[in-house]
Amino acid sequence: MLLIQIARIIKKMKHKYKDDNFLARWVANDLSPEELKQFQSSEDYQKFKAINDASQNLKAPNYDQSEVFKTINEKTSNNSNNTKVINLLPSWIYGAVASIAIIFSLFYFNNNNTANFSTSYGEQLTVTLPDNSLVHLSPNSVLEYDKKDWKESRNLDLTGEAYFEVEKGQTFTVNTTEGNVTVLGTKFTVNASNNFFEVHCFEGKVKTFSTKNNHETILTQGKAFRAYNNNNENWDFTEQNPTWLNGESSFNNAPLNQVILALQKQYDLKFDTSKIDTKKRFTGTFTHKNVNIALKTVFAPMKISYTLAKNSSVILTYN
Amino acid sequence: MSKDPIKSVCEQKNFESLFNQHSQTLRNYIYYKCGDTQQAEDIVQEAYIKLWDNCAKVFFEKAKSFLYTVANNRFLNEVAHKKVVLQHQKRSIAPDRTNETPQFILEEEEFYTKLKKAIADLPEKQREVFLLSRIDKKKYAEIAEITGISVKAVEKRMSKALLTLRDKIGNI
Repeated sequence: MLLIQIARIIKKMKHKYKDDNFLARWVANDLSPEELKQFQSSEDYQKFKAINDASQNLKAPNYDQSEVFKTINEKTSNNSNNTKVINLLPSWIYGAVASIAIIFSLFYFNNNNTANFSTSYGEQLTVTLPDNSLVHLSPNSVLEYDKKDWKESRNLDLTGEAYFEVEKGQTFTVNTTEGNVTVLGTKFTVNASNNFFEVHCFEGKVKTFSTKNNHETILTQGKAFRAYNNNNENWDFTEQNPTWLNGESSFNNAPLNQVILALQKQYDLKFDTSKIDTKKRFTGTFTHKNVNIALKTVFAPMKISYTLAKNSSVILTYN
Repeated sequence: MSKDPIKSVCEQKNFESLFNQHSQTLRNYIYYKCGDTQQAEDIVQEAYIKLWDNCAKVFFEKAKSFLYTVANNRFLNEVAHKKVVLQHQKRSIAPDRTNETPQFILEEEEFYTKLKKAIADLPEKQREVFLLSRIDKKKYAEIAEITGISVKAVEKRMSKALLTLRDKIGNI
């Protein structure tokens, strides 16, 4: 007898609140006419209605909005109050305040000495340095230098890839985690990422030093150097400018993972490379204008097929 | 002409309009959580002062969510919880209403007392959703934005709150 009653109640409940937002929808007048009619005829309807009606008459405790705003205004405009206070103080205070101000400004400038530039996916940025040297940052790269020390030593920190057009002058050094490049005045690119360090010299003469391989090379115009997987590679090229400045990335016998990294930086893609050999080498270019063409030009010659998934991740497999 | 100028939070009049638009709900929201008006208003002040200090970094359109995030984080650091005390609007005695016998009014008062206690006893998450909807008349989508959960989750909490209240109040 009791069991039957319980079963009946459960059945009734299921019938009434067939989903767990039924009551919320009722409150928001979002029930269908049939649903509403059925609900209205149920026993509990009056209870819910009483609760809902009454709760709409409730109020939170009084809130003095203007009082709160006044306090905020007082707290945010402390500076103007300070001026008044200082006016009434003896004159030596001015001196003290002035020196504090000077100390603070020194502190401030000291802390703002580092200039920092960075690019996001698919972004390029040209930075003019204080000596009129130019730096073109490729996507997803960071450039940092010390403004104060710039006159004495032209030192830069780079993560990623950049093309430098250096004005003649003091030694110009680009530091990366993978190595550094020292020049006097010339044009070159540096590309440094995890366990990869590549330098192209477009004009003049550069001295490169790979930290990982502890290897120093001097490059002249049209020469390139790469440190990868404990190997040092040298080759010649004929371009006058890095191609990525003109909407293309080119590679000379580059490890495939570097090409994939460049695609990643350009198009904000994620690659699943678990099924392919990323140590294979690639020679060629890809465009910055069309992701599909870019993928085709890189992967078709490598006999790799790719599928573009919805979450912009690309799965690479052999044909 | 082509585009609306970007509103800066740093401009006093924009800041003030953000205050007038959001401060009451923000204060009520924190009050529903902690039941302490003083604490709620302190948190509102802190949130707006922080917004002012960061006015150059926050887009006007993002200011609301900035305020709620600051207030929420601030609230999580506070520990004191009191019971929420609500008031209700007394019915204005309309001349055409004759059914308001003393008995009826007494029963109604009793009902409100029960209701307020039941609301104060609700779990915090159900209470804030229920009161933002019923007192501040916020739509579920806006409550979702304020509390940082999905609309579906807001509806669930709302339904749960109603079921809990019904069970607590029992027969009228």
